[in-house]
Amino acid sequence: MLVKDLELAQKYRRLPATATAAEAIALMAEYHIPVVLVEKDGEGDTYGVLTRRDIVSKVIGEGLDPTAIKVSELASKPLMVLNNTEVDVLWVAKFMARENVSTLALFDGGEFKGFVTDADIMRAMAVPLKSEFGHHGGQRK
Amino acid sequence: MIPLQNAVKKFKLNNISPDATAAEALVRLVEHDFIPLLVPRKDRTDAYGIVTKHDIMHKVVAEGRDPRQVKVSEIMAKPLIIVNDLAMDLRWASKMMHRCGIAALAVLDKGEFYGFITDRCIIEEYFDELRRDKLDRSSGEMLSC
Repeated sequence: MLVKDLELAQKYRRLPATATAAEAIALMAEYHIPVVLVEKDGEGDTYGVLTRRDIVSKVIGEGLDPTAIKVSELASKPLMVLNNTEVDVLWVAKFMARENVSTLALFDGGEFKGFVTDADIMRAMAVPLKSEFGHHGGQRK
Repeated sequence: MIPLQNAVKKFKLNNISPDATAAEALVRLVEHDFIPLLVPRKDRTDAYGIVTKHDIMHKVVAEGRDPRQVKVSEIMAKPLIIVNDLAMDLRWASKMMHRCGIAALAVLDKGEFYGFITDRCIIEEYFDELRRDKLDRSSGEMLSC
């Protein structure tokens, strides 16, 4: 299976760099999304990615006030980029495992396509296995 | 302050046998929105185990192994990293997850498994708390005028 055949479940959402962590929490909780794209803060800046884990470990775990922290301080920058859609998802999984990330930004010819997450890869892998182990197939005890 | 108990989602727990294959674990995870799977213990002297998205990705998919040929007992994490104080502030659970580098923290109550805490339930519980705060404040203002 190639990257271009993956169905990206995430309809990604973005926040300006000046937004607060509280806004990010609201966005993630309301739409049940694990990642948010953080926009550039002026010329020469890069896009960033903010995950649930960033908020849990850097804000909630430290007991800080989420309304007083900007997302630009929390986001991972720059993005881990994947710009070849013709590779097998196995290599994407290897890349994620090596870099210890769960989210990659997918670009196709300079155009941002969305985020590829480990969940997308697992969903694609589960499709052929579903008939054997899924709820509607032969249930195993 | 948010007691830990509020965040432990009372989702239907999914058990998986240690003898099942990774393929079955993968399908179960996908079907249940990546809530971690619990590997039950055989008796009271045994420990609980856990299988998460991370275990499947790192130990099966990234290694290029066939999930049908891998057993759950090879990839599960056992014993669990646990907390057993249901009244503890959620902040400390967040800190513990970060310190141990784990995605799911198990909560035990009186020696029995109670539930998992994940990044997702922390964020969603925290959001509810922020919203309740706001409501309290705005209703207070209304009362005062």
